[in-house]
Amino acid sequence: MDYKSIKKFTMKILNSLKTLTTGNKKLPQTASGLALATHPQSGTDAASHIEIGAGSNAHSSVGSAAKPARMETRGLTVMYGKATGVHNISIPIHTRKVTALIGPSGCGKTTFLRALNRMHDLTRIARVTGEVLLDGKNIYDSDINPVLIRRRIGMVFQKPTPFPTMSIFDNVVAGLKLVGIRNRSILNEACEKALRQAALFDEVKDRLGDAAVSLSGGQQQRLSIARALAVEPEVLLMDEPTSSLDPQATNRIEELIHSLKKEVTIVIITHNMQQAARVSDYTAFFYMGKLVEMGKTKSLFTNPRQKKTEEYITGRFG
Amino acid sequence: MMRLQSQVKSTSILYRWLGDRIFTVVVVLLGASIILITAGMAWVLFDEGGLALREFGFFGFLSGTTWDPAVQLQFGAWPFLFGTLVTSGLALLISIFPAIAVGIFSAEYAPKWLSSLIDNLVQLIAAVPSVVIGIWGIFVLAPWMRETVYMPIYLWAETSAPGLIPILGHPIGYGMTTATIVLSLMIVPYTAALSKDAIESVPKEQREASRALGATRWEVIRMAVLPYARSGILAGTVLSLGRAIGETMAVAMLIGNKNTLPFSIFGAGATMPSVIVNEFREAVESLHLSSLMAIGFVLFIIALIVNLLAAWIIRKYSISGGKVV
Repeated sequence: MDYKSIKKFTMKILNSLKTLTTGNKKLPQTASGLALATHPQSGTDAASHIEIGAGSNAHSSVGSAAKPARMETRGLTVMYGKATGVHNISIPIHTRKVTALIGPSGCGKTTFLRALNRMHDLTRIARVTGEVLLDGKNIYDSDINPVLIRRRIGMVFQKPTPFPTMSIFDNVVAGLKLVGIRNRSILNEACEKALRQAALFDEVKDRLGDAAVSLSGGQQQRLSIARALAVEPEVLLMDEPTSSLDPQATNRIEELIHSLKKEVTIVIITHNMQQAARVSDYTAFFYMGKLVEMGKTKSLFTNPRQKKTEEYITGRFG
Repeated sequence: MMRLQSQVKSTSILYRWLGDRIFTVVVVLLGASIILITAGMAWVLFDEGGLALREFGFFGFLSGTTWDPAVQLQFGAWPFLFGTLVTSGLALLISIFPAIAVGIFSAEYAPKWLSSLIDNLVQLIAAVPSVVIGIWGIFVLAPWMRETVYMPIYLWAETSAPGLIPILGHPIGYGMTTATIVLSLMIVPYTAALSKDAIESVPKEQREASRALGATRWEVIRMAVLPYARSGILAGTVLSLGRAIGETMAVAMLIGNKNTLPFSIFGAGATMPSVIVNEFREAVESLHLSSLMAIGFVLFIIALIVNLLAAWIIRKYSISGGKVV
């Protein structure tokens, strides 16, 4: 018994356990609980499409581009102890569109966003009620494994969060390594694809082995986006992704969002009205933990139905 | 504003100037005194140990294997250096993983009340005087080890593998193994507390970033927490090694105090602190006393090296603000 065979054996056991706990018996067994299926509509560069198997059976073996996840919230409420974070939010998250969440600080945008991929599970005092439906299935159901949900719904944070001890390459493929992909050529391919999607590849292609923290702030943020994209999520949540960046880097990220929405559903929080108007298709305005209104970005900005919305977007408060 | 101005006590320029000067002088003097005291300690140890160091040479003293204060008046520190390195090194090896596990459990898994309970107990263990731990070792651990571990192995070796007997040594209960086990218990609190601090100081963003990639709890620790905390954990480990090297009382009570090589696994041995505490009262020969002082000087240098090593590790591997410094 050498190290590798022991590892293989352990992975096998872990995988069967994983399948048991997620209740997904249909998942084809590969080295990692991942289904490697040929992509029906893929272009030339992506010969194999990596699809994260998850608990939902509506979405089991078809690639995300072929049948993207539908997402909506119903009566979503998050409480921090006795304080209400957001109250009774019911909105659709339009597939392969960009939905912007706007509102003054403390209005519950971030609280809402973090409820969409169960990040509140990590905060002991937060309690989530209501539903977040992904393909008709509530992600808060007891038979859902939050780890698998987070693989389908990725997240990018306000500050760049490269893992400081890892190289650029290792950062990008960190999520893939988590699900057990060790094949170097698959990793290389996925790394290049994600970096290209994040418009970072040309800048770092000759120094993938360098420390991730050697990059500039804007590059680090694009690296964080590439890392989130590498696991091929169906939905990408972005919490003020440009707030710590200069205008030029902001511009690049906005272009990136624009090109990404062809493949991924995006929900973005922004404090910048112009940015919301530029990048999003739909906008939801939050105020004091409640949804004031949501609509097509164009109509919300040109013809808001609520007075509060008008006051906010014209800069009278917030 | 005007009213506030009138409330300000008028202070003379002289008072302000003088106050500033006096404060500066006091602070500088007190700050400098710690340097002077440390340097003075090193000098006294070196000076007092000078007789022995001149007689045998610094490296001759370190590598000398004979310590005979009675007949030959020959002093070599190697048995004690060896005993110190082996017991401390092994104690570190035994304690490091359990201690880091305690740190991880307390910082990541335990609910708040349990975590603070653990922290308090860890501090309590660290606060128990080593002579008390020594007493416990003498009356509880050593007899228990002798009856349940040393004797059965010794009896087995006597019949089936007599070649092992010299390596195993006499199972009197007091010896290298007992001392190592007690040492490892004594340094667990230090490694655990320092590891926990290091783990807790890992930014929330790092944990969330790995969570958002679909990492499980253990994967978050492996991917984000431990790499980020590695410098703190390593430095804590090295500082614990320093504690183990300097630990005197409990070791002196349990190691059996044998001044001549070879040491054996179960049998008696000695360390540098233990030989100092055991012999300085009866050291009448000036060369003997000087040799003990020289051992103190060597200990001082080892402590210095250990601390510098810890500082270097923190500098080399620490991460601040997302950057590897």
